[in-house]
Amino acid sequence: MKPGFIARKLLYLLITSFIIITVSFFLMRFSPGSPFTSEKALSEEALKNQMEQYGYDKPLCVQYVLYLQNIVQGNLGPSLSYRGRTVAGIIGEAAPYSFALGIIALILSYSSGIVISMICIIKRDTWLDYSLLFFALLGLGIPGFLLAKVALFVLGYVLEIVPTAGYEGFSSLLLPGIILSLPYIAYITRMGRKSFGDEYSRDYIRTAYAAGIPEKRILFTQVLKNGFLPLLTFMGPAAAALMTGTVVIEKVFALPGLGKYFVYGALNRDHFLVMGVVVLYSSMLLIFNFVVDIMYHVIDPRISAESEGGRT
Amino acid sequence: MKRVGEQELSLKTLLKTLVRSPVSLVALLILTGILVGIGVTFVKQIRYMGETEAEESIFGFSYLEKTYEKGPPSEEFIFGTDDEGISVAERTLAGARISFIVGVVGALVSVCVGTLYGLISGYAGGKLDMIMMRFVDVVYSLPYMFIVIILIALFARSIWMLFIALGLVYWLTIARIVRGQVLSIKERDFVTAARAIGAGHVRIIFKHILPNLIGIVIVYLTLTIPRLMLQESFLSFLGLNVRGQEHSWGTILNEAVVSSTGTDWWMILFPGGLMFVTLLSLTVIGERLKEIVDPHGT
Repeated sequence: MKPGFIARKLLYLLITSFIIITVSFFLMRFSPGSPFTSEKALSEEALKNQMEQYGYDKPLCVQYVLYLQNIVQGNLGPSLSYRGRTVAGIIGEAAPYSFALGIIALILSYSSGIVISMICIIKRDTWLDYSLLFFALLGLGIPGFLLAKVALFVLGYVLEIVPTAGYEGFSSLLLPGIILSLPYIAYITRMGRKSFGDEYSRDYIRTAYAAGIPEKRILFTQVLKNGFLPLLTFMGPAAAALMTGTVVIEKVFALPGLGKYFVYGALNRDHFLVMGVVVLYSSMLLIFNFVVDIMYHVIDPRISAESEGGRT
Repeated sequence: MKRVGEQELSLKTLLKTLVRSPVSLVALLILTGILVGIGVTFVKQIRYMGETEAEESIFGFSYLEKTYEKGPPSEEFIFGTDDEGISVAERTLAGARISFIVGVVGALVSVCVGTLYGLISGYAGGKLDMIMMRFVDVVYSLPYMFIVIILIALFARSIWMLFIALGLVYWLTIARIVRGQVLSIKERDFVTAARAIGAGHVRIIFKHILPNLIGIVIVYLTLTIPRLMLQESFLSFLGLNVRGQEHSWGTILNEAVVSSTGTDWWMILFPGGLMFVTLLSLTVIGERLKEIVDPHGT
C-alpha cells in the first residue's frame, strides 16, 4: 500500500468534514425560528442578554469562525434547550449507549448475514435455502418499532426474560440490537447469497474441489474472501443507517441514548446540540469509511488509485 | 426463466411476467385490494362532504364516524374501534392515502433526481463523473436520518418538506445504478451510430439512452416506495408527523404502540398487518421485476 493513497484519503476526510460542518452551520442558522423565541414572554432586555450570552449578537461570519475554533479545541458549545449543560457533556453521557447499540447491530448484521448466506450457498436450491430467503424478505418489510413493541411485550412482560425499559447493563442492549439489525441481516443475506454464489460457481473453486481441498476450507478462505467485496462496499451505508436508526429503537426501549436529546433539540431549535450530534456522527462515519477503504485495498490490492470516485 | 432482451422490454412484458409468477400475482392482487379500499374511503369522504357541505383536505378525517366507545373487534367493527370510537379499519385505510402519497411522490422525486444525476455523470465520464460519484459516496455515508429530522423539525412540518427531505436521501442508489447502466449503454453500437449521423448530446441522452433505462427505473421506483413508507412511519413514530397527517400509518401505530399494554391488541394488529402486507407486496414485486430487468445484478 502506498503512503500516498492513505494521505490522499486523509485529505478527503478532512475536506469533507469541513464542508459538512460549514453546510450544517449555515443550514441551521438560516432555518426559520429562533432558539430564544420559545421562551415565554421574554422582555426585550432579557432576550438581548440571552443572545449576548450565547454569542448570537455577533455577525454570522464571526460566529462561524468562533464555532470552528471551538470545534478544533473539542468544545461543541452550550446547549440552548437543556440549560446549564454543555453539548459535549450531553453527548459524553448519552452517546456511549447509542454507539454501543449501533455497533452491536452492525456486528450482528454482518456475522449473521454472512453465516446465513453461507448456509444458503451450501444448501443451494433446497427448502432450507428458500425458507431462509423468504425470512430475509420478511425482515425487509416490518417496521422496526412495531416488531420491537411485540418482542418487548412477549419477551419482557409475558416471559419476563428481558428488561422491559431503561438500561440495566449490557443485556438491555441485546434485544434492541437484534431488532435493529434484522432488516440488515436480511439485506446482507440476500447480497451475500448472490455474491458468494457467483464466486462459488467460478472455475477455480471447481479446481479446488478436484484437488481435494476440504469444502470448509474452500468456503471460508476462497469464497468468503473473494465474495466479500460487495458486502464491504455496503458497510459504510449500513453503518450510517444503523448508527442513526438507534433513534427509533431507543425510544421503544426507553434507553438513555442520544436519540431523544437530538429530536428534542431539533424541535426546540437547539442549534449547538443538533450541530454537535451531526458533526460527531458524520465524522465518525467518515472515519469508518476511511477504514473500510483501507480494508478494501488490503483485500484487493488491484483497487487502488484508479478507482477513486466510482467503484460501483 | 427466459431473459427479456433490453429492446423488447416494455410495460406490457413486465406486467406479463408479474402475472405469470404466483407469488408476485398474489402481491399484485393484495395491492389492488388495498388501493380499492382506499378508493372506497375516498368516495365516502366526498359523499360526506357533499352532504354536510364541509370542506376538507384529502387528508382530513372528519367523515369517519365517532361512536366514542373503544372496543375490541365485533360484528359491526371487524377490527375494533380506537380511543375515540373510530373504526380502526376505516382509519387505517384513510391513513393509507398519506402513506401511499408519501411513498409514490417521494419515490418519483428520488427517481427523477437520481436518474438525471446518474445520466449526466455516466454520460460525461472522466473527471466530472469522478467528482459526481465521489459526492454520492460522501452523502451516502452521512447520518441521513438525522438530516431528515433536521429538515422536518427545523424548516417546515409540511408534506412538501417531507417529499424533499426523503427524496433528497433516496436518489443516491438510483443515481449509482443508472450511472453504471449508462456507462455500458453509451458504448453500444446504436449510440455510436447515432453519433455518427450527427445527433447531439441531448438527443442521444433522451432519445437513445433514456428509453433503455426505463426497466431499471421502474424497478427502483417500486423498491423505493416501501422504503419511503417505512421512513415516514419512523418519523411519525418520533413525533415528527406532518400537520394534517394525524392518520398516517406511522401515527396510528405510534398511538397504539405507546398506549398499548397488551390489552388493546387490535389497535396494532390491523394497521400493523396492513402496513406489513403492503411493504412486503411492493418489495416482492420490485424484486421480481429486478430479476427480469437486471438478472445479473448491478
